[in-house]
Amino acid sequence: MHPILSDNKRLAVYLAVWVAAGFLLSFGISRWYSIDLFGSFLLVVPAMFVYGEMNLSAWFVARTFPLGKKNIRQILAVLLASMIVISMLWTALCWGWLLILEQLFSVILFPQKIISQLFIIGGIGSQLYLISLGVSYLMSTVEVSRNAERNAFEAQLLAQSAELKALRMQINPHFLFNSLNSINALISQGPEQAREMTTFLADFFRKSLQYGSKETITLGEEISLLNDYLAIEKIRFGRRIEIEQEIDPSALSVPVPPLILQPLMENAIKHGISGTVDGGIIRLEVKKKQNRVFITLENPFDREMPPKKGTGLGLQIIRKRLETIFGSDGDIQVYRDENIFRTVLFFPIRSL
Amino acid sequence: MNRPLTAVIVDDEDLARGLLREYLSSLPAITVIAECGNGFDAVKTITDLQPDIVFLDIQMPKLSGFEVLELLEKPPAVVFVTAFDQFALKAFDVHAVDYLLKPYSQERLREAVDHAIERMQRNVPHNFSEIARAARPAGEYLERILIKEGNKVHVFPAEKIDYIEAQDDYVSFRVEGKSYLKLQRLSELESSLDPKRFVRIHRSFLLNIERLSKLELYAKDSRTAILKDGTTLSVSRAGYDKLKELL
Repeated sequence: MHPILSDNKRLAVYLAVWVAAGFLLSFGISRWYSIDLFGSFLLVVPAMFVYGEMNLSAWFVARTFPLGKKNIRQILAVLLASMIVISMLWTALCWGWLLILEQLFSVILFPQKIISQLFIIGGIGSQLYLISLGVSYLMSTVEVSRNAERNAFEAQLLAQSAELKALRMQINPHFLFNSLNSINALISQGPEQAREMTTFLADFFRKSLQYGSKETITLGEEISLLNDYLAIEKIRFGRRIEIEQEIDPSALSVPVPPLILQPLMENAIKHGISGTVDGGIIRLEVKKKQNRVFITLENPFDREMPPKKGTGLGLQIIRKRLETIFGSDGDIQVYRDENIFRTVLFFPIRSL
Repeated sequence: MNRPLTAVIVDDEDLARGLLREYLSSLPAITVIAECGNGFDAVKTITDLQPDIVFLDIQMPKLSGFEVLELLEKPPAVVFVTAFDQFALKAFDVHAVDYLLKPYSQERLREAVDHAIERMQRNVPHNFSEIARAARPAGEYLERILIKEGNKVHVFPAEKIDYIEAQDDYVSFRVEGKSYLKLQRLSELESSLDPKRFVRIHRSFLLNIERLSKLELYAKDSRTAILKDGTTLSVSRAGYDKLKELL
């Protein structure tokens, strides 16, 4: 879209500038060439008005031949050619207009020889066209960078929300494939447990999908999701997982953003239990204090295992989500003891 | 083959081991002689029993599957077993390593075993340290060093190393005032460790630049690195250029 043609107000302002320039120019011309001032107006102002419209084409030239992309010589040649064409065309128009005026008023407006008349008009025309070209290039640069900025910003927004959503809904492939492998093993070793695990797995995925698409769920719902998850991992890891929970029942109805604890529980298994030989206790505590909920999750971990990738990212996402929803009233803190990893998450109780 | 091949199963999950045991019991070519639930245990058992083939989980407590292989002087034939690890799988495909993706069928297991046996008969051992390196995602480096001394395994985080010195076929790690020898090439270590931390300052030295105190010029084109603990190491011309680039 042409930045001036596409907007009537802009077009009016633009043409007004050309007409104003036409008045100035006619003063000048009447001075330099000792032409009658009124005649100069009649000649120059309409010519400038028309030329203003003709100069709108400079923008298309600037857009089609952006600087710095193609051979600069080629571009200069194109610009030069367009300048010659436009200014010659205008010169011809002006000269015709001059003849018409002289006929109409039967005066000699321009006392110079025809050839110098043409040179003067052509010179002015080509200089004005060069200015238009310069302005057009400036405008297109501004437009390009503004577009790039806007595109980048939009892409970032889109990516961020898509990423958060995808991460929320993401099925951890390790979890899925290991669970299926456990079921495969249980089919002969403990068919009853294989059935149990299948339903836990189905419940877990169903709830993940259902809750993940909501804006808010209750803490009780979130904990029921955690329990499905833990039940699956308990079958998989057997004696290596012990579960302890101490939950204030009055906190179960508190609204929370969905799947805010689930990544923490996943970390507790992935970076905790699965890296230890003997496992240990996974402890979940939920308390209410002064209109705030404090959720503590503890798991054992092996200090000597190299940190696996991804822990930091999961925590960062949770922190960001809490910050977006609760501002500085909600946060998550991480503590490492000798071989216990503890995360404490807190946020105010209010409707979301 | 007349006698059945001896096999060790290494996986930290009881159920996963049970499944493999069950599947393998129907393959007459294989006899399972031991099972291990963690990396340390695996190194000890494999060293003691010298099985023909190992079914090896990658993610385990204590040591990963790759680290287990690194600590074995004579690694046996290996079938890797893993749930999901895109980088490792790529490396396995490139190096034609046998692997099983959980959950796998008995048929798939049989194929992997056949293939491993065939490879064993052709006697083409894998270079596991190269495979381990290929399995590491780009931009990630070795985070800890494993050294086996007799039956003891030392595990050091990479940042605890002061410097590493090449000594014939061995490298010597200098860690907290002690030296540990390991059969490895310095160039191989150089490519596995974080290049922002470890700089090859000399043909024989790989230095943790956080230990560097100052550089002294003692002859034209020849400098000495003085470490925080007072140790001096020679710095070559090329080594000096690399240091300059980093500091």
